[in-house]
Amino acid sequence: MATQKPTSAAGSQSDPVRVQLRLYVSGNAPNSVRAIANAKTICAEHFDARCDLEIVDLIAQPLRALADEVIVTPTLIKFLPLPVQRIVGNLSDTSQVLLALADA
Amino acid sequence: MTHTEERQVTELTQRLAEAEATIAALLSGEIDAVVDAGTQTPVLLAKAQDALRLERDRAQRYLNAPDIILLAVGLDGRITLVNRYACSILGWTADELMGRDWVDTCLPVRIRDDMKAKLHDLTAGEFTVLENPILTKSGDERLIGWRNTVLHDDEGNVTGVLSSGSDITESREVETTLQKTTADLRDHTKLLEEHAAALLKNEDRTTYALRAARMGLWELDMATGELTWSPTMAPLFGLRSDQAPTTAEEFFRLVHADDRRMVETSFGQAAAAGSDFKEEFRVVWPDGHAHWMSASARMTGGREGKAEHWVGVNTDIGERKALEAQFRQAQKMEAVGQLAGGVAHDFNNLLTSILGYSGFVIDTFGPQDRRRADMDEVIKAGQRAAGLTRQLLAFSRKQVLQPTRLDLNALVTGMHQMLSRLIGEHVELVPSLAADLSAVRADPGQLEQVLMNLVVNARDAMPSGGRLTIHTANIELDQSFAHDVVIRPGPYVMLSVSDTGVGMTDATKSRLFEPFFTTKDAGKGTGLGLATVYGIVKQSGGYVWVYSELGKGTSFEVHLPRADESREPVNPAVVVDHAAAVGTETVLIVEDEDAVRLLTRRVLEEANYRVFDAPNPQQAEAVFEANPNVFSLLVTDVIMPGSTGPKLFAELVRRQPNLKVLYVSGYTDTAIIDGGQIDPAIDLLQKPFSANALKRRVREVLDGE
Repeated sequence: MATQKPTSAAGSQSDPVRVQLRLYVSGNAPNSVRAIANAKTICAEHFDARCDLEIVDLIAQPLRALADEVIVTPTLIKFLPLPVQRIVGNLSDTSQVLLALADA
Repeated sequence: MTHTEERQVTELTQRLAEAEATIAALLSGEIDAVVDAGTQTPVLLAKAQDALRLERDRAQRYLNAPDIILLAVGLDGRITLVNRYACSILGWTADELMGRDWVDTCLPVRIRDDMKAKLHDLTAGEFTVLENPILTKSGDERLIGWRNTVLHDDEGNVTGVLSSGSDITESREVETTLQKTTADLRDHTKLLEEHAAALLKNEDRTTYALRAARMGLWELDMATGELTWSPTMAPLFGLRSDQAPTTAEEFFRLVHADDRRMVETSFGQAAAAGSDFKEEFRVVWPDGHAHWMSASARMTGGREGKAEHWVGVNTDIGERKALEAQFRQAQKMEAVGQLAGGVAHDFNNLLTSILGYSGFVIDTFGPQDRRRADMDEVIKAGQRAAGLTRQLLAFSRKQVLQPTRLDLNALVTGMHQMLSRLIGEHVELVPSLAADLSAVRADPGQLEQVLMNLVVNARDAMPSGGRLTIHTANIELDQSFAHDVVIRPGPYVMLSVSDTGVGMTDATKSRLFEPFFTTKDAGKGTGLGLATVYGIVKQSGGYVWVYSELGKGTSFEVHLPRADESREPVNPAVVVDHAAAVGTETVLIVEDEDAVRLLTRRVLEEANYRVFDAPNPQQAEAVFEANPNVFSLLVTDVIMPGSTGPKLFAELVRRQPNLKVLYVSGYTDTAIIDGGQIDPAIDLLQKPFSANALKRRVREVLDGE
């Protein structure tokens, strides 16, 4: 998982095999706090520097849910590498999350 | 199935999986907020009060819909809910009304005793529709038509009545108004009632989500055998919640007889192995219809490997199953089309030489020669075979279409007389054409074929007479038009042909468009008519639908995309008289099929042309090189070993810019054609061709711009 794969033509142009993630949370609700911690750990341990993790707090920025059709929090969306994938929940099941991100 | 259709199936499947994952996360408590679709604000689930308030706000918005009175009354006759419109009619504020006795406050004195008795009957579900006068604060009376729904709490006890009403004072004179109003009301208030009723019952969000996803939850206690359903399950089986099964055995009885053993066995194996249970099967509703469903379940609380408790999710997968069935059908049609196209291509070469040489032979017999009649029969048979081949090519969508901007009304009108003769006197032909019909982009000859095939079929469905309607209209297709079929949304023009004939069975309907499928007596139909329609319509970017009811009739609807306004038709080429179709120019013929090449050569030589020929592009280039600047025209096949006609022409015209070209082809070749639609500016002669057609086209191209 942590090993570098060759660049695919569909991936980011600037940097090979970038992982672009966005995590939607609701303030410091328990599952949201857990999801933030889990997402950061997964990024650091498995993708280190090539992972962009953006955290969106819907209580502060409610309208952003609209753009990505988020209906519950926490929701993690993987935009790159394609295909786009959504993972709902507090991301405690690391193996499940890594499976969903497997193409990275 | 097209690439787009495949992608849509994939997306649908993915969305289903995401919905399942979301429900699972909701149930396991991993969700802490739900985004309200109206305000886009996250509602924290921990604060149930907030959720409730939000639900109330949402319901309030529905409650405030104009023109509909919403009113809830408790068992004690006191008002528990009243909307803004009701207040505006009654002249009281909501605060003044809440908690007051409905009958004593808002009804005329003379009917109060009667209505108090009726309220009791209402809560027993006696009256669903009712009309009575009400008394406003200022003392006026208004007549209101009501529709009533009994409200229950979670235990199923009656808690009151929810009534939706509309003011019918003004329209009272007309006897039918109440019926119409109540019918309209039923449509308009169904949603309102659902939300209002949900509010009053404090239905929770999970149930909302499950219902929207058409999912239900169940639990099975293995020790007691007791089965429990969530409230969202029963509707998936067409049942009321009080009809829900209470044991696994009762549940299995709801499964379709053909699937029951499989489901029981699979469930038994999962229970024995302690593994998850996952199956797709049909369930039978009380009305006898089968519905597809998927079930996934997991055991919990097992002790010594023995299952004690199952928790499962069932999902209505009817939509997905319909897509899968459509996918299989599309694949089958595609395969048959490939086969038909391949056969037709070879046939065209054979028919070209049969018809061509027969033409030479017949000219050698005198007018009284008996062999002339024999030869005529050979030619007729060849022409019939050519007609069949054309239809096969149309079905396999390998036919060359020459689309132009086309007015379907003009097409129908132009064919009216011919169609009338075709259907005979016992059938009445009724055109119903939209005045403002948009144009389509299609091949006129092919659409005439489509209309004729549909009309002939309609006629044959009405052996003892009837009415045949040809209808045109502009329509908009969106995904909701047919939720079980993948379509490209947008503006379309519809052409429909309906009969009042015998109709058809589902079995017939499912095979309708297959080539060689016919319900007509042997010798009466080729089974290619509707296959041709299907092929032409598909290749023109359209859809064809069929609606039929046994004994009542059948209707075929063809939907073609509206033409792009900006694209104008290309003018047709010069038309040439047969007799004048001769010339002295020099022509180079390139054709890999020997019989066709020699025939082409002979026809053109007899028309006085000077002719060279080559069996492939390489030799053609050599001939061209050896005879510089003598050729006026290149007549070439499109696909040949090693190269293509267009490539050859590009090479030769580079050396001699005034060279002209006529392509000869048996089917759609991607070399010159995009998506089976040829640019009308390209000159193309379709195989099999007659000697006259060849001479005429050669002359046209030589004389053209």
